[in-house]
Amino acid sequence: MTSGGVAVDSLAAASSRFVDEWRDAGSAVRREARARLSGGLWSEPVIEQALDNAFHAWDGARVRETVQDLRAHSFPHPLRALVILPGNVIGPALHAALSAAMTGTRVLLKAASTESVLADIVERQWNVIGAPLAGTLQALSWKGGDVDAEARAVSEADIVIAFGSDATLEAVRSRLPSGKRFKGHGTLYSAGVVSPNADLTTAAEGAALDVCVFDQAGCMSPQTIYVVGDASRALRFAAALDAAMEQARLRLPRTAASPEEAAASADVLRRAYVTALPAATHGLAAILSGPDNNGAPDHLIVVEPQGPPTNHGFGRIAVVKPLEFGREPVLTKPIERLGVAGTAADEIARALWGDRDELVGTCVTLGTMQQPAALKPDPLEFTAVRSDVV
Amino acid sequence: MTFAPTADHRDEIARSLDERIARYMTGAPDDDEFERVARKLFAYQYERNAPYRAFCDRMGRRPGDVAGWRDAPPISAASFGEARLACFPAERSAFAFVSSGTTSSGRASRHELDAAALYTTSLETHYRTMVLPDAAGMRHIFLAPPFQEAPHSSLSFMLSALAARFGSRESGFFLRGDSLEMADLARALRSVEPCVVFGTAFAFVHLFDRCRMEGKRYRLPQGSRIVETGGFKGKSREVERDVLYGWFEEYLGVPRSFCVSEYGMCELGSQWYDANIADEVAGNYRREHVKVGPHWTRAIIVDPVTAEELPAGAPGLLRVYDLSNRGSVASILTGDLARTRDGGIEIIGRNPGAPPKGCSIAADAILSVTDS
Repeated sequence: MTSGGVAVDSLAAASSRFVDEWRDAGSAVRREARARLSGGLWSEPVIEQALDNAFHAWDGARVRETVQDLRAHSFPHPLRALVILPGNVIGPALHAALSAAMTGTRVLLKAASTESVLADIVERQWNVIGAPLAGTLQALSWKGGDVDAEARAVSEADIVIAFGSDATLEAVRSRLPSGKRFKGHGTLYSAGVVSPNADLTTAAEGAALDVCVFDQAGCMSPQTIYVVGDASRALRFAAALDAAMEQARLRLPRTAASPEEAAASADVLRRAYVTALPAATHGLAAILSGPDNNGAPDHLIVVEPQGPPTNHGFGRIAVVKPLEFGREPVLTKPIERLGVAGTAADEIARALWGDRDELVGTCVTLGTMQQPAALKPDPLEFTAVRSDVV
Repeated sequence: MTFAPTADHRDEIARSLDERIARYMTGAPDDDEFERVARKLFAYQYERNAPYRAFCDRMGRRPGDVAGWRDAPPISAASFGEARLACFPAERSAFAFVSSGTTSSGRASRHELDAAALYTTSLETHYRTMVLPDAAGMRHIFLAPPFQEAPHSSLSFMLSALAARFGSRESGFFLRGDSLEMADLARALRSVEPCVVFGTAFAFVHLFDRCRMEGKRYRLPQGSRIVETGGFKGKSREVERDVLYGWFEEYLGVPRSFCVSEYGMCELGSQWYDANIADEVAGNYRREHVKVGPHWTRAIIVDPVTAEELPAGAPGLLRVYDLSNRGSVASILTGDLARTRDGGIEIIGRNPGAPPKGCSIAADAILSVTDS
């Protein structure tokens, strides 16, 4: 049995080895990734947590099973893919590599300037692993705005998979030659919900973990956390979250905030003075700031009235909102994940999204939101099954 | 052209305050009176604008603490997308201007008026000073839709008001939807009388692209002038400012000294214009890229984190105070980077604000072409 002319067993074995090495905290690739990523966007403990999360749901057996399943798709020939990676999270570089490996795709990984390490490590890792992966992955980088370099890379690919803002994806798509296949991963956000039977302290500890990995910059980060009940329960959860964030920063510290982040945080804080719930008479604050981090609060929690999610998307800034039943559903746009603390009841679903089930990608337990179960990009995107022809 | 926005839902207190501010607008600058009005206006806005009052309370600032405009806490311009910042109930709203961008809550900024009188007095008075200091009126060619077609656009409101007040009978609007009406526009650009061409940057780029394609150039009569306002995002390719101004001369025959940029936003009732036309007409040293606001406004540059005022010439966030914002909030912290220069301000860019976000950032290698 072959996949694109390559023996399935051989692909499965090589892909399993790739995954195993990334799951092993003591492996050479993990050591190198730790060393080269530290000093960048994330602290070493955050990098370690993120690398642990990347393939937490994958092992050799699942890889073999997936490769077998992919046989169901007949590939006329191995596709060549260009993946334009994000720079604010770790997962997509490794996920793109695994998806390409399992489908036998030759892949160009275009790294972002803020995270150009992983693609380079994977390229050399595959060469060490040998056939059939050796030589099939190439890490690329080019300077911002170099459309010639982009065009050269595009010309070598049958399919282009890109991560970016909606405007960026549209710009990439508009420059593709006619007939090229394209799949875009645009901006998405996630949310959390604390159910009526959830313990607030436990829920806050889980939420803090989800907030701290990638500092709210990832699509699986809970920007807004809904707390079922009235405003006072939301305020109590915010106080618990503030305490949990204090603890979490010891285990998953942040890097120093940039001047731009300090300015942006100051703006968020000024806006919070307008949007936050009125100060509670029982002494619970609606705006809670962590200690100073280079001019920005190390974390910021704002309790706002019930309504649609507020997505700041950076700097360990979380918005907490009460969720009372019997009102308009709060979600009107899709979210990537919903992290749930306690029991997920139907009435919570109705309060969040009414009957529009399509608005929520997946539901997971609060505290595990940064542990992806599926790959993004997934293997089918490399088989042209989930892409559009331009 | 007729344009008579007659809806007027002001109560007596609002009307009285507007009359006092309008007298100040049309009179001579007087710092003492400005501060007196600013104190009165803060007390009014604190009392009537609940979200602003909450903001001021959190900042520890109440009417008794405010001696002048500098003491009125500046609210972030983005807050107009997150709360209804109006000094009157919704049923008294006569006009609502909505911005094109959205905030982190997914909503666009919204600025409501209970009447247009003060707003119109403000925009007409300063336009005459900065764009038409030497003429009572002129033919106006607008590369934007009229207010009737864009009833939530503050720019369209302004242009319709200007057309009615300063435009000759031949004035017109030549943008429908996102398309220029090229045949009519070409006829208008062959005007034998001086005219003002006022449009968004993206509309001008579109016009010049067409001129290049069709090999056309126009020579507007001496005394004609250009007013350009921002607005590339998502609409057209962007070009450098100096390139655009070169095209004004190349394709329309209007020299640099008679081309100005307007700075305004949906959240503000007043506008800032480049000083060069007023300087040229007055025979003064001609400042370039220096924007001047009307005497009923104040502008300072502040530290983006602390909001403290910065020394002259230092870059920072633009904080403005605008008496024409009687019905909302007069003290506003914009998201624009600027510095003080030659008695005015120079806009130097947009505060980068939040770092890129979502799993999506990144395609940074491609971004510089599309996002600036």
